[in-house]
Amino acid sequence: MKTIDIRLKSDEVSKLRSMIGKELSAYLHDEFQYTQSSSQVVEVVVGDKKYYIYSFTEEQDYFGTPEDVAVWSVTDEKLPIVDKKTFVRTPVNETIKGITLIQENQRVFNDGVQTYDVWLTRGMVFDLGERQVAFEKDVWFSEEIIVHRGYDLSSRFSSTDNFGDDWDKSLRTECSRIEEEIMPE
Amino acid sequence: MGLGYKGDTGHQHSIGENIPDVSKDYPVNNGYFGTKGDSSDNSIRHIESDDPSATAKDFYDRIAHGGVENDILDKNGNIKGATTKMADGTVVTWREVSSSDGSPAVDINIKKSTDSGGLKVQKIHFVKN
Repeated sequence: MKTIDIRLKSDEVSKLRSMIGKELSAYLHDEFQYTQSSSQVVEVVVGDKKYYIYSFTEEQDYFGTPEDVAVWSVTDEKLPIVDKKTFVRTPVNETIKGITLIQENQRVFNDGVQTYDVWLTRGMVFDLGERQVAFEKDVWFSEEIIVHRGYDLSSRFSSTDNFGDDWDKSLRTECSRIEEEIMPE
Repeated sequence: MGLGYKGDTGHQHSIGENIPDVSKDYPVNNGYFGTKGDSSDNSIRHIESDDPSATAKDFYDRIAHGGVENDILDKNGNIKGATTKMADGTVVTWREVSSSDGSPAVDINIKKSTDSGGLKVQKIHFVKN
């Protein structure tokens, strides 16, 4: 069985953990064009510090063939792409009460034997008390970052039901998610 | 890129408006262009041609006609392709070179589309005959 793990790394989770209890001043994204998504990067301003959620494709084993798969990262490093963006700033000015990661597990079985076990971070939900802001990873090849605002946002994430719909019928697929609350420092 | 609509169409196109023209040269079968690739996932497609780069660009320019286009960059800030948002919510992305196999590729993401004209989510590699 092949195991692939493209969830956020521990140092990236630590960066998110450091945001809890601080003020989410604003987040910056592309101007929305029919869909509420930003291409490749969203900037998150916590207090006076800037963080970036990036989505860049990189070569991965995509269930047996090499493909460009979008992989997320969270960092305070400003890459050249940021200065080339014309961002829209959405002010928030509320304290981050908690952050929950939406971790997705994709499993593929061939003749009843599991051949792939894939983990990825589907997104993250910032709990602001009265409301939430969330960022969701789009389909596997897409560098779009979907932005959600409102309540109970994990329920607005795309369904896992369609995973494997158009795959070879000889394979069985399963997909599930867990909500992983980041514990404060 | 980034100003107006791709091809100066005067209004933002939905992807469905472009399918009749594109399908003249690139037939659609069960929501997919091209033929199934080597993957178990039918959404990974191949279109063969003598000149994959030119064919990929032709396909992209026609399927993304009338959308709002922006560059996509690599981590160093170099342009690696373009992404176009259509009026129905479809996002079409063209990459001159896939890092996986070096082929040019076009992705069609209809996940947020209100009317995809019957197309499905797919990634198309343009490969040599």
